[in-house]
Amino acid sequence: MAKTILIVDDSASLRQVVAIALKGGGYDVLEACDGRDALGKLSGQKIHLIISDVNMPNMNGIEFVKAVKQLPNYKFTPIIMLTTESQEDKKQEGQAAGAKAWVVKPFKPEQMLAAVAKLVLP
Amino acid sequence: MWSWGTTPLAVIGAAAVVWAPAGIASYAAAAVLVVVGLVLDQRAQALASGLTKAAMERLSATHQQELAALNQRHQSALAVLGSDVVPVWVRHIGTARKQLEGAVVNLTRDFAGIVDRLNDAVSASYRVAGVEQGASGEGLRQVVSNSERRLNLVGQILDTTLSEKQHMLEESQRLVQFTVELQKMAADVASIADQTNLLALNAAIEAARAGEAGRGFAVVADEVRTLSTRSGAIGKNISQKIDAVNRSIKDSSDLIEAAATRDSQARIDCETQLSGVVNEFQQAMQGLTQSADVLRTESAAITSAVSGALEQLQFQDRINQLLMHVTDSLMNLRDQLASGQSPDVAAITRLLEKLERSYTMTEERSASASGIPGIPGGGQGSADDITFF
Repeated sequence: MAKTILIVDDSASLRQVVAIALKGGGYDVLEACDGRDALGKLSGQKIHLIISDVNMPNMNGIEFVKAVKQLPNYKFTPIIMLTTESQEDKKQEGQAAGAKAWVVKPFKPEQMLAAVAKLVLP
Repeated sequence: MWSWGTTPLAVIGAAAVVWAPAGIASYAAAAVLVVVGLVLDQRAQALASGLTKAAMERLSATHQQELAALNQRHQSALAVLGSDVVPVWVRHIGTARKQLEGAVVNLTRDFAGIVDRLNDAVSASYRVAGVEQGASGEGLRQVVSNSERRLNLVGQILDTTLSEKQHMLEESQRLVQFTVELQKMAADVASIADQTNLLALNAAIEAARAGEAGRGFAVVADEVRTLSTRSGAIGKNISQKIDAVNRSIKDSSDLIEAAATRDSQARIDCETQLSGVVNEFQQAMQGLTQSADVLRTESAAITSAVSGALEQLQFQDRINQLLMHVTDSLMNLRDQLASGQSPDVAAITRLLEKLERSYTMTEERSASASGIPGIPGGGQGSADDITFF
């Protein structure tokens, strides 16, 4: 059975690029346009990994990661931050929040698939 | 009171140059700003130069009115810039962002469609060729294999028929052997009949010599002679029938032999035809397999190219963020101009510092570093990397 990955990004085009890359790797994909939208989609579903942008309206990526880590069912779900931010202090902020990896846009689809394969829950 | 010596419009113009790379609309607007700033600054500098306090006191009322009017025009221009021009820039940038995002979404969807259709075509070609790993056996290879097996079965049926005809031919030849024996037996019968007839003739002669006493024996001898004559006729008749049977058998044998020869040639022709058909099938299958291989190779190359395109398309997201930062900064400029306070270098610097703080990308920092002196900038961090925690 295919693993399900949630993509959280306010850019529709970026969500689509990520979705295409992941579907090419055999994953099922869910999409959310910001942190608040993503939290709504977590309930009642089994999500094996989350890929989230950092700078988003309503609820940014760091706040979203912190909120996810408070959820009992998603406490150990791996989260990859996908962002244009490449500053070390921002990365440390993501790590402190509970993210497992930091990917700087633009990413290579095969690199993203490799990162997902490394982190996705069994 | 407005101070011309600080040349704030030149500062705004230079700031606009920093924003300009964000888009054509911004670039055109920036050019207008620079020109307006330069013209106004030149007039202000010309008026201010050489005017000492004492000289100012000696200015005629006409000159003071001219300076006040110029100042008023300048402030009005700034107010219009904030209330009318900046919102237009923001709307243009917003339109550009929306159109760019829509185009990239469509482009990405099209690329995904190409890859999906290509994968479907490759799978279909391998299914047809029957060479896909784990294929269900419905492909051409399986069809060729089945056809070859069935065609070989036809050959085996022909072989069986041919064998049966050969057997019939052998049986016919054995019948000919029997008829030869029968012919000999018929000849023996005729010979015995002749001897019996001769014997009966002698008996009749001896009976005649015996006179009255041999009369009865003469009757017997006559009957024996009659029987031997009939036996001889039957023997001859048998011999004739055997000859007729022999001819029929020979005719049948000739027919069977001719048919067997034709069947044997037909078997050879059939085998040649079947072999040709199977070879054509195999060549067709080989061609299809090669086509499928070429298609797969091309598909892999196209998929790789599309993967590269997907990476490039992400720059739309980066450009979108850059335009958002420029838009936010333009809105800050509008608010600054709408406050009614005349902007100075410090205010403009704060504006740029706020813009700088919103940067997330190396390109933005690099662009800012080449902007106004005194504003910290420079690229940090690196794109295209993955950090695992």
